[in-house]
Amino acid sequence: MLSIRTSDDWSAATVTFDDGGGPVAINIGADSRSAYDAMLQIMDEGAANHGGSWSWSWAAQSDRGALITITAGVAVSATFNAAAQSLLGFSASYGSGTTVAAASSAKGTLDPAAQLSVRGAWGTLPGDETAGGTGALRMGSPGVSMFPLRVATALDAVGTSRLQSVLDAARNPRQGWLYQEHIGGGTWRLAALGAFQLNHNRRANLWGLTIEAIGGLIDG
Amino acid sequence: MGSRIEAWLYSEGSKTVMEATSSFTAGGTDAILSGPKAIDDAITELVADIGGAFGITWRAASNAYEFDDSGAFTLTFTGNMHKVFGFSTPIGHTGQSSYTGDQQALGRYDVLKLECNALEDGASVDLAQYRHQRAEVLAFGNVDLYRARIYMTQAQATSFLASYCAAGKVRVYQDSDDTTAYSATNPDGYIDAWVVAVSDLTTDGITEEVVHCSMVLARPRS
Repeated sequence: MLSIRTSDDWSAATVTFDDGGGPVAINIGADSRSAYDAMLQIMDEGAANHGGSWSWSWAAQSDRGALITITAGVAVSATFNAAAQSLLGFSASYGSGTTVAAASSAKGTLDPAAQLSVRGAWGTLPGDETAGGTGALRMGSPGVSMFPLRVATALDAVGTSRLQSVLDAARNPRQGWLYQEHIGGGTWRLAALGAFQLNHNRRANLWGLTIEAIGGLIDG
Repeated sequence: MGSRIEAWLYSEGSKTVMEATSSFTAGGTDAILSGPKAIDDAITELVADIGGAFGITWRAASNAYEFDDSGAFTLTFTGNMHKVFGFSTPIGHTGQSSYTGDQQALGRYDVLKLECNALEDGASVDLAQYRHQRAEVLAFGNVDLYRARIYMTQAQATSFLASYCAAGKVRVYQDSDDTTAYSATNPDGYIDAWVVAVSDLTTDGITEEVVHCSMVLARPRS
């Protein structure tokens, strides 16, 4: 799954949970600029405010976006303001329960049926830490990965349409979270996203998508 | 038989954070490296600084070093020394007589395999520029160049590129059982060389289990 950071005002989004002790609002911070960033914040604050173990998951939708489901640590009712509904895909309100499932795909998400192949993610070079080897003149740029990540997938016609909307929503410079499934039981990689290249296979009517990506971002 | 790469540790002989790889304290006694040394030689000097029954041993199963003494002692690293030996934290090692690093040591990699091409002449000086054009490196001349290809596990690869073994001066054991230096009569001995370039990172396997990359090493001519 790709969760791109969008140009929207995420700080306008507010999610409110009530475990019976009164509503507690989570104001999505300005630094949470993607669905993934927002979910990290909701997980942290939800667990801190209401207790229990909070988690979230996503499922591919027919529009090739990702539908988010929050599993709360305790039974809660939930309300989402207009911005949160628009950005995260949730309905306005939910009755008490531990599962809060969105109604539509979160903004900036791309979750094709073929999933994303993310290879060559070998961490970023230290900005200031591990200089100190004898005569060290480290190759590459501090703070970013030494080699580009190789990101590829296949899209159908609906997927290319979804990709267009995702790229339209992206903020500049373009940054996004990529879910890499095969390492560490699933790892999210933050990357600077360069060119998106589509190659059409007319016979199968599928598009091969490759993304030029560099791991690590100087400004986080 | 396997291969391994070890770092040379830099030191100017003082215990300061700025000297990232020069010292640690064990049982209240400082061990301070007097100058740049290959990690095996550095360990010999640092162990002698502490004295007694103190010792540092490589633990292959952990890919890290073990520090032990005859009784309980407190171990505190300075700078990045803990990372060199495979510890995730510089402090908090207290109340035991033995401590083993909990992560891959950045000062030693027992790589799976190393292929080394025939020696090349590196008499000229080149200016190399990386293709994303953010960094330049001056490759010095009057050297013998070794073009090696190293194979490692996925777990090693995640830290190798940012380790002390991928930059600066390194000691490359072509055969880890041969602990004498390369020479005309000992062609599989170890090589002390400078890393000029690490490139062409390639992964094999569905889940990228094996990672290999090209490594150009320069050995100054004496």
